[in-house]
Amino acid sequence: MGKNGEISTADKNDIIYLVDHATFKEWQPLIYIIPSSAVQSRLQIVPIDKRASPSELEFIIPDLKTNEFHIIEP
Amino acid sequence: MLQVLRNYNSSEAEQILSRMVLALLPNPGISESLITPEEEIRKKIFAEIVPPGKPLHEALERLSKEISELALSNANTREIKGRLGQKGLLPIGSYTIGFGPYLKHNSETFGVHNSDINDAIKHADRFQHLLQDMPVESPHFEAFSLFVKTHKASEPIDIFSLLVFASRAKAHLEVVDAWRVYHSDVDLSHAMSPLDILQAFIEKYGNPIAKGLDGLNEKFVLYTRLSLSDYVMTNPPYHFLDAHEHRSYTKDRRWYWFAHLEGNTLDIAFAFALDIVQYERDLKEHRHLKRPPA
Repeated sequence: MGKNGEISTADKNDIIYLVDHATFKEWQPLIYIIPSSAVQSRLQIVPIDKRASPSELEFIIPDLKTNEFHIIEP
Repeated sequence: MLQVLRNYNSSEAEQILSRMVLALLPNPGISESLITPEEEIRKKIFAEIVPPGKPLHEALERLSKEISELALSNANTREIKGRLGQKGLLPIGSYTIGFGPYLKHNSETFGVHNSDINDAIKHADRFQHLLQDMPVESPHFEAFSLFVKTHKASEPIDIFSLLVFASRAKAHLEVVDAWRVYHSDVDLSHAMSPLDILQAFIEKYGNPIAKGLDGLNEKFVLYTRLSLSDYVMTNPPYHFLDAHEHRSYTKDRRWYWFAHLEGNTLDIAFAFALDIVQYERDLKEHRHLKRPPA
């Protein structure tokens, strides 16, 4: 990953190769924990017709920083 | 490449297909600017890949395949595989496996056969690629991987985890050694990761590797850079840096180390020593250690 979060051509090719060759074992869920107190005022509600699932609430945090969440891996 | 895109270069074709995929995926509003409708070309692509009457989202898999082929058409897949392998990101089945010189002795004495090791790598309960996210970086730090597979037994005392220690270079794993870690012999109550299991194993069977009182209990060094003073240069702080002593310990101890000394800087990828006599003594307490040749 580049300094400004840019993905180089080599990174892009690596990602495509990985996705193409990953077996079922390589796919695993990641849970992002975002403490609401830090982002409450910046939440944008996604319109229902644009949600991945219309039955669930969905938010956008357009300016989420990497120090504002944790990732939990199995 | 799709017939419709034959007059575009691969980069342009890739971008058109990527925009089509974006348009087909749920869009919560964060990528609006990336989607530029190209109605004519999109209709032609859909006509080429989606049978009449079928929903358009069924094109996703084919579009993904086309993007992959375009993106990788000019890339060196061997280099990609090497890069990913070195980082520990390749699927385990994509690594080649080699076996180091210690392992013949292991199969005879420690009940670990190459087929067991192969199985532990390919069907590991847990594995861990070392060198990722290490706080100290050095071009002399070799990459390593640990694999663990637990074997059940009718008697609880005979339950063990096979722990495999391998060096990793690009898409190749070279097995350095492998050990049966009996749960009744080694305290694994706090071991959460394969590295924890290795450390618990070394805590049980390891010998101190540092010279002098300061390092009396130091049994394991991992990815460490030391600046050595002139005094220390003439009297290295670790036994394994002294070739003469190294040889004298091989009868009852087995040394494992990978270090690089340049000027006054000592980079140690890892170092530990095992008390083979104690380990063999404990192994003999367990049944089924020896099995008929395959």
